[in-house]
Amino acid sequence: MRSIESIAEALRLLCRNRAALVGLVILGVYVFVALFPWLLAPNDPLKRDLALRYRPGFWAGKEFARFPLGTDYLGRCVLSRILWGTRTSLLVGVIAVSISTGLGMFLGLLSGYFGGWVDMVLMRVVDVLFAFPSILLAITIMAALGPGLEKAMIAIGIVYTPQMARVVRSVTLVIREMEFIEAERALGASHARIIWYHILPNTLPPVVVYATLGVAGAILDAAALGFLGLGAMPPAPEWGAMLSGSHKALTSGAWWAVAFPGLAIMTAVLGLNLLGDGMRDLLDPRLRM
Amino acid sequence: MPPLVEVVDLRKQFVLSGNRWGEKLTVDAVSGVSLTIFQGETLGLVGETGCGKSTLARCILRLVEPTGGRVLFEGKDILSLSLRDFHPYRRRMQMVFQDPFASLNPRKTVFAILEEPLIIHGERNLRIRREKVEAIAERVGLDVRLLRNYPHEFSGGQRQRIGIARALILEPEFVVCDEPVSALDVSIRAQILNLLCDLQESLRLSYLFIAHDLSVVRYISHRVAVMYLGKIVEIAPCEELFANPLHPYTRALLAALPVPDPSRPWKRMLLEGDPPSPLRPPSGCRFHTRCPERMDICAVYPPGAFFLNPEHVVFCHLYGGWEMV
Repeated sequence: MRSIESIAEALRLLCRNRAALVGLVILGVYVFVALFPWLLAPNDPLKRDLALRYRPGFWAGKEFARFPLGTDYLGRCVLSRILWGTRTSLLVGVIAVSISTGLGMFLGLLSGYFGGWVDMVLMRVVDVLFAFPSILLAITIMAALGPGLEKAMIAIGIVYTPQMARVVRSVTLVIREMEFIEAERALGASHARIIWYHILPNTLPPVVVYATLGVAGAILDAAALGFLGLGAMPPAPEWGAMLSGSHKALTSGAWWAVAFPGLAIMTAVLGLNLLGDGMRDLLDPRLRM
Repeated sequence: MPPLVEVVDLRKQFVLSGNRWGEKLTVDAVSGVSLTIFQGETLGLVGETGCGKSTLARCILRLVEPTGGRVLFEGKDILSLSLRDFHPYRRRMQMVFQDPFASLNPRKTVFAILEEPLIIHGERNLRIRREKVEAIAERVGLDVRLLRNYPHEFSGGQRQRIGIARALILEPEFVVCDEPVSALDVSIRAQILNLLCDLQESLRLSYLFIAHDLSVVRYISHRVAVMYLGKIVEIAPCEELFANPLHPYTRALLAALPVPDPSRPWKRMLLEGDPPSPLRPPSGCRFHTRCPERMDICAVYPPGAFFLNPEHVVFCHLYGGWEMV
C-alpha cells in the first residue's frame, strides 16, 4: 500500500520535472520498440538484396517509401534494423550496468564499511582499472574473452565497475558514521546485517542516478565495440555494428546508412541522461519534503 | 549490595597518526576513570564538550574498544569476553542517543526499527514481536497507529521516544543516555526526562546519564560525576554536589548556572583560557592550567582521591591525599 503511494508520489514529482519527463517518454518509446519491434518494422531486418544497395529513403520520392530510411551496403532496410537493434542495444546497456552495479556495490560497501587494509587493497585494484581509458580496457578484456555480444556486456560491466565502486564507497563512508549505525552495533547487529539492511538501502539514491547515466555510457561503449567488430556478430542488427558496417557508405554518399543508427544512439543517450538528471532531483530528500 | 556496573581504571587512547619513525600521535580521551553504578540509580556524568564523556560511555558498551582497564557487569569482566560471548550482554545494556534525527534509519518504518532488536536477539515469532513493539510503543507514549510511518514524519520529541523504545524493547537493566535531551526544545525536555524517570521506577533501570546541562543532571541524577579532560574530578550524591562542591572545576561549573532570581546578584567565576588539548594533557593535575587555586604541587603530581565521606570523592590537592604515580 505504502509502496504504491510512494510510486505515485514519485511519478507526480517526475511529471513536475519537465526534462525528466521528456527522458521518461523517450525511454518509454524505446522500451516499447524493444519489446515489439515486429509491430513497427516495415521489412525483415536480415533480408538482403544486393540489387537494392544504398537506396535513399522517403525524402527521395514516393517510389522509395518501401524503405523509409533507405538501405545499407547489403540492401537491408535501415529502419527495420534500427528498430530490431533497439532490443540488443538496450539489453547491452542494462545488463552491462547491472554487472557493474552489482560488482561496484559489493566492492564499494566492503571497502567503505570495513576500511583499513580491505579498503586499501580494493581501492588500489580500482585505481589500476581507472588508469586505463575505458574503451581500451574494454578491448583488452574482449581480447581475453573473445568477441561476442555477451562478452561485450561483461567487458563493459567490468569497465564501469570502478566508478560505481567509488560512488558506493563514498556514500558508505558517510553513512557508516551515522548514529543509527552505532545504535545497530549497540543492539548487537552483525556486520552483514548492518551492511545489508541499513547501509545498502541508503546508498541507493546515488546508485540509481549513476546507473541511469551508466546505461547511456554503456550503450555508447557497446556501439564503439560493435564499430570495432568486437560486439554483436553480423548479421544481427545492433546500432554500433550498423555504424561500423556502413562507414564505407559515407564515401559513396549514402549518409542515411550511418546517420540514422547514430541518431538512434544519440536519442537514447539523451533520454537516459535527462532521466538520470531528473532522478537525481527526485531522490534528493530535501526536495521530497 | 554490589554495584550493577563497575568501571575500573578505564583508558582509551586514540591513535591519530603514526609517522615513519614510529612515533605516534595519541589522544587520551579517557585516562583512568573509575566509577560505579548501582541498580535503579542514575549516575549523571557532566563535563565540557570533548572531555571524553561519550567515549567513556561507548567504551562501557564496547562500541569502542578501550585500551585498558576493566568494566564489570554484575561482577563479570565484560571487556575480556569475545564479541560472541558478549552478545547476550548487549540486550542487558543499551543506549539512547543524542541526535533523534541521525539515530533512526530514515528508510525504515518505526515498526521495523523497533522490531529489529528482537530479530537480532532471536525472536522469530512475528506475532510476539508485534505484541512487544506495541507494548513498548504504548509505554513510551507513541501512538500505535503511527508505527507504519517513517521517522521523518515525527517531531524531535517523538523521535526520541522511538529511540528510547528501541533501547528498552530488549528489557535492559542498564541504559546509557548520551545527552538524550540536548537536541530537544526546552518544552519537550521535561516530557522526555519525566518519561525516563517513570521508566526507571517501573523497570528498575540504571542510567548513566551524560549531559553538559547541569540543570538537567540535577533533575534526574542520584549521584553526579564531574569529568575534565579524560579524568573524573569529583563524584558526589546529587544534592551534596550542588550544595557543597569541592573541586574548583565543579565550583566553576556550578557558578555558570544561571539563578532564576533577578534580585540576586549573579557572581560568575570565569575560568582562564580554553580547555587544553588532549593531545598534550597538562602534567600533574589536568586542571592546573586553568585553576584559580593552583599550587606548586598541582603541576607536578596528579591528585589522589580524597573522601569527604564514603559517597563524596574529590581529586584535588586542596584537600591533600595525593598519590605518587
